[in-house]
Amino acid sequence: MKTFYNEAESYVDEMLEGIVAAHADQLAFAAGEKRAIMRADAPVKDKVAIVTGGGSGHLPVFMGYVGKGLIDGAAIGNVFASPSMNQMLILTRTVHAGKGVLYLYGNYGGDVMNFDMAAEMAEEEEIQIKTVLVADDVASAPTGKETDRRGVAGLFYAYKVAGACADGGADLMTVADTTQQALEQVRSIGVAITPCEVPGAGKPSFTLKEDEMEIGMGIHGEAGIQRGPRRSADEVTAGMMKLLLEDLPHSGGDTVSILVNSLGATPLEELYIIYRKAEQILKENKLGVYRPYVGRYATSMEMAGFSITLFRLNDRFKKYLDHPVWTPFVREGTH
Amino acid sequence: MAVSVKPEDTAAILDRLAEVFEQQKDHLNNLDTKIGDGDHGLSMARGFGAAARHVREKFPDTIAAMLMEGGMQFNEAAGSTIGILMFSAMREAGKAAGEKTEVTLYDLASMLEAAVQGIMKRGKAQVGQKTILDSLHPALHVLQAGLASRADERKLLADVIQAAADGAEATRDLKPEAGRARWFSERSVGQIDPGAVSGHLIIKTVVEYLLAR
Repeated sequence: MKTFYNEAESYVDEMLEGIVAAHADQLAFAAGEKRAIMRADAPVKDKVAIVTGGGSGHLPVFMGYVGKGLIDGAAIGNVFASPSMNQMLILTRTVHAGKGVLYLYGNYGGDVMNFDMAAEMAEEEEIQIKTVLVADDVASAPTGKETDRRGVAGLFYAYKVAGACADGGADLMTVADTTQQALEQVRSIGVAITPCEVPGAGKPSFTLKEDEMEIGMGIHGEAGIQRGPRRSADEVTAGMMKLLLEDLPHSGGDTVSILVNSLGATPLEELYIIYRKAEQILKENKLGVYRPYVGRYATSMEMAGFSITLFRLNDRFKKYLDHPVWTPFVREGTH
Repeated sequence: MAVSVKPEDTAAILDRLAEVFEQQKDHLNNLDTKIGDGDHGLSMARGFGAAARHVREKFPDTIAAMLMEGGMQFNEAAGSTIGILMFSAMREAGKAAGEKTEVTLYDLASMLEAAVQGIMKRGKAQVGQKTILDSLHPALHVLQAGLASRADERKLLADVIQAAADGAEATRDLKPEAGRARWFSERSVGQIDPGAVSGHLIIKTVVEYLLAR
């Protein structure tokens, strides 16, 4: 794999130093902890703090969403590996403004174990914690086992809802419940055609033949639901939309937001070809489209592939999507 | 022989674990690539490296403090599932050691039992789910049974290593039901679990240190 980095050991730290240096007006290390990034103006007075985290390798997840209107901080692990309990705890203490902290992150074992232990320790320090897990990947567990699912690009919608709700002055319980309700309306599915390589591992984390693709593959290369010959953009998109619409309860006249996301290497051009087809299918199903997103929102380093996320909206969720955000990687509306 | 472990032994054992996992790093990464994302060896080497360095530098005065602080450093350096599980294991083993400045083989059995229970609680995992527990738990079982029947210590310690090795080997036939490995379950059939191999390496390293004394 041809890449640009110095040493595998320093990959994450140097990446984080770069991000904080490039966005020094917006981001800062929490209490000097090199694996915890927060809003430079944290703690934000009178607001529930929102903390996320997970392994590196998914930019703009997580640091790209730290800022006004979205989340307050992110604990960052090595590539595809959870950050430590202590890094989460330091971040929690630093961003906490007295209204409690929402832990909002993807459903992965290592992250859950570390965040759960951090929550236990924070509660011993009288910091109130609520946890909401993002588990939007329909390919990772069947209907009926939704809580087993992995969290992928749906993280973006989770941050949007939680961030807007917290900015509105809601208490911790309300922010957590609202975000949970929104996530019940979010579904994602991905497809990969080439792998990525964890720095230092020396080889890709999986292999696919030149003419193969894998539908449902996770953002760390976890097995999907169907490996087979590559097909055209329209055919792949139609297959994925079918799986999403089968899983997401909906009826004609509903409105959804759609996110067409690159896993890293797939260019915007291809994403728009995919978006075109996806939007046609939504219209055929009499579903309105509100605030579509197309771009790199949750990646797996240089993996080629994409994901589609649907978020079924009500008036309240529409309003939350309209809420302005100003972060290093996402700027919507004016602040 | 009468087993006794003091703080200086604990530091030496952590040094030895750091060396062993540095040597086995690539091998464990390779095993992990077959069923996971290929970083297990790196996590273990980083974790024990950081734990051993911390204990050498700060030299906490009890075995408990060494394990608890070392475990925190392991988690810090390795993160990930294995980082928090090893932290939980070392923290619980440390608590079981209490204020003792010297522990016997009976104490070590209690510490291993606490470590195994710590991993089960934090990981919400059971024996037989293709995890590190599948080598640690058989080793614990043999150790407890041997102590109860007053078996010869040297023979018992050899049996403990063998139980861990057999437990790791038996994970080839298991289907992963806990942790991220369950997402790789099809690829996992027939493959040994790298976490269970690490459990065997930990048992082997500690026991060989005891046997060499």
